[in-house]
Amino acid sequence: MPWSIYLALKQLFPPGKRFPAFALVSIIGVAIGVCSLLVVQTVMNGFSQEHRENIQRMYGHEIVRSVDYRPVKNYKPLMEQLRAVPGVAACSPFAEGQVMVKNGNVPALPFVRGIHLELEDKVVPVKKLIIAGSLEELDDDRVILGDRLAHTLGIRALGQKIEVYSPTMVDELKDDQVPLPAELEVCGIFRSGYVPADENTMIVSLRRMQDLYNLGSGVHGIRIRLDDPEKAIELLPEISRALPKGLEALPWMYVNFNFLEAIRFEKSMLFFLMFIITLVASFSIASTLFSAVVKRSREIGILGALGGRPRQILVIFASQGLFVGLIGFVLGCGLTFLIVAFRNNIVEGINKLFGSGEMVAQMYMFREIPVHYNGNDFLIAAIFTLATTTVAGLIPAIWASRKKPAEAMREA
Amino acid sequence: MESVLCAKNLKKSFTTPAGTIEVLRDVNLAVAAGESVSVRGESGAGKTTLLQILGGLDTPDSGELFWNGERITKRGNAFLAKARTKLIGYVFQFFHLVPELTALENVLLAARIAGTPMHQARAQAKELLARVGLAERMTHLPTKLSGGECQRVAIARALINRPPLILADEPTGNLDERTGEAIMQLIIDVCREQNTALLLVTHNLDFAARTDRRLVLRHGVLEEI
Ligand SMILES: Nc1ncnc2c1ncn2[C@@H]1O[C@H](COP(=O)(O)OP(=O)(O)OP(=O)(O)O)[C@@H](O)[C@H]1O
Ligand SMILES: [Mg+2]
Repeated sequence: MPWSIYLALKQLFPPGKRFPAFALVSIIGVAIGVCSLLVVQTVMNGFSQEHRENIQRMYGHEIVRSVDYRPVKNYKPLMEQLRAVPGVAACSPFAEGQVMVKNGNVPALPFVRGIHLELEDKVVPVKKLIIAGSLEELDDDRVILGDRLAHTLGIRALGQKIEVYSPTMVDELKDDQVPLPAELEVCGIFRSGYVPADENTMIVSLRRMQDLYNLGSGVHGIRIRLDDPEKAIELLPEISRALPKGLEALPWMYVNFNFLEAIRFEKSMLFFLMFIITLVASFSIASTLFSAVVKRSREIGILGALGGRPRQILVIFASQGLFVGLIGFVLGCGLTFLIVAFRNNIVEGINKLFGSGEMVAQMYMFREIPVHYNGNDFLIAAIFTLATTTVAGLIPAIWASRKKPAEAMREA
Repeated sequence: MESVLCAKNLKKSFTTPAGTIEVLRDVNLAVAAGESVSVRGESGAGKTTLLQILGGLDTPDSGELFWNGERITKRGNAFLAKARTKLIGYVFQFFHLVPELTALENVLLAARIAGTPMHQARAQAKELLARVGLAERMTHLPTKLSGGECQRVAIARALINRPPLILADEPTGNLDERTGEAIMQLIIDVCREQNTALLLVTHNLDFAARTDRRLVLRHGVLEEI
């Protein structure tokens, strides 16, 4: 080990001292800075990741529909053509819209997805979301409810029946007819984890939905799964080429585009804020290190007298900054993993303190705080931390190493 | 024989708010290899200043300085530092050990700075510490050592690179009489053993008498007596 590094370590952690105050305080400062930066970034990533997955889970990777929202007739040859596009893995027709349902006297206005019973699961993972009953039992007279919707409607057991009124029944009313609601049997419950969907969605067969919306043999569109969801925009031209006039393809990124952008923007804003916090921490390290350098002025002179070159003296103090940064960063990462691992307990504790029960679910639409570790965040934090702490040590070190040994020895 | 150290017409003055102090007016000096020279002078005469300039720790206002015949005036800090490891061992009045390092590490430090490989340096350092009578105290920190022991460590540190010249600035000024006597004898003996030249600043006439040549710094000029 070079002697300058050895000396730096000894100065940072003086032997015979059980509490190296300077080192500990600086390291803890860096660790807290790094930790707050990384926790915030990880949670922000989690939100955006979770949201992207939710969209893909509910929406598929791409949908094809008519530009003016009119039903798409004769969709079967279109499906064949779409399937032929390279990069398209599967597709399934759908019809969807709003209805009113009643269970006894309890009403709700859910969103209905009419799905193709065989093809839908090849495009979006419906089967995986079902927590009671099964997709196989779904037929034209049955329905699968989101768990929160089922709860709101007071559904206690599978097999219960609900009444469904569609908007087209209003037209029947105008013609002085008395519309009869469809009676559907609950054969399953699903939970996606995405609260708005679980609160407000039910699933019926495509044929039932065509019935409810008077679509005949038409559908509202075709849902597509791609081999690689990230290529949804890239593949847009190829897919569009397969479409007849009046139809368009929409990649999943365009759904809630503003929301995803907002998350991205929020993330950069928070990074900027945390950046300033860490910068402040660096300044405090610089000032502590500066006073340490001044206090060691005579020692610097001695090292000079022993033949220590200015650059080596620079290394002594700059590496102290680097060590503080390095240990602080590692500690900060550890702290981050710890906080992230116990995030739900922490939030629970906060909720208990302030008595706001389902805060997370209600405010952020997720059942638990989503997290997603991103290697880039860690890399940026590492580079930034090490750079600032090293510079913090370097500036006083340059000042110290410039002096003639005689001058340095006189001070102190 | 060529002198290890040679100074010609050195001048040095300090400017303070109270006025300019001319410390060295015209210093001429040559120290031959293996020779021991003592410098006396009143407090404030400029002995420390002179030693610092001779050791390259400070720069003179004018005049010329040669180490082993090489002119070193106006050379940069890095050059001086490197040349110093090969030529000069320093002993200070206040020992000036590195407080975070043990006795052994303090001695090793000088060797490591000079670029001696670790295993070699360690053997030499242990040998030297034994020579100055500290075989049992190598792992002690300076705070756990007495003044005399600290100065022994400092002497070992000054000698480890086998420099041809030792500059000693009142090395016993901070020690009691008996310890001072022992330390001084140690310095003189070891320098003689290793054929090292010695430039010794001291107030003590007794010590000065043991050197080959005796000088006095008076009114900024070195006089032989
Ligand atoms: N950096 C400086 N700035 C101003 N004056 C200085 C400086 N260094 C030394 N002096 C002055 O130069 C003179 C010589 O100082 P120096 O320390 O060399 O004396 P000395 O002979 O070593 O004295 P002592 O025997 O007390 O150690 C003193 O008057 C001192 O005040
Ligand atoms: Mg002096």
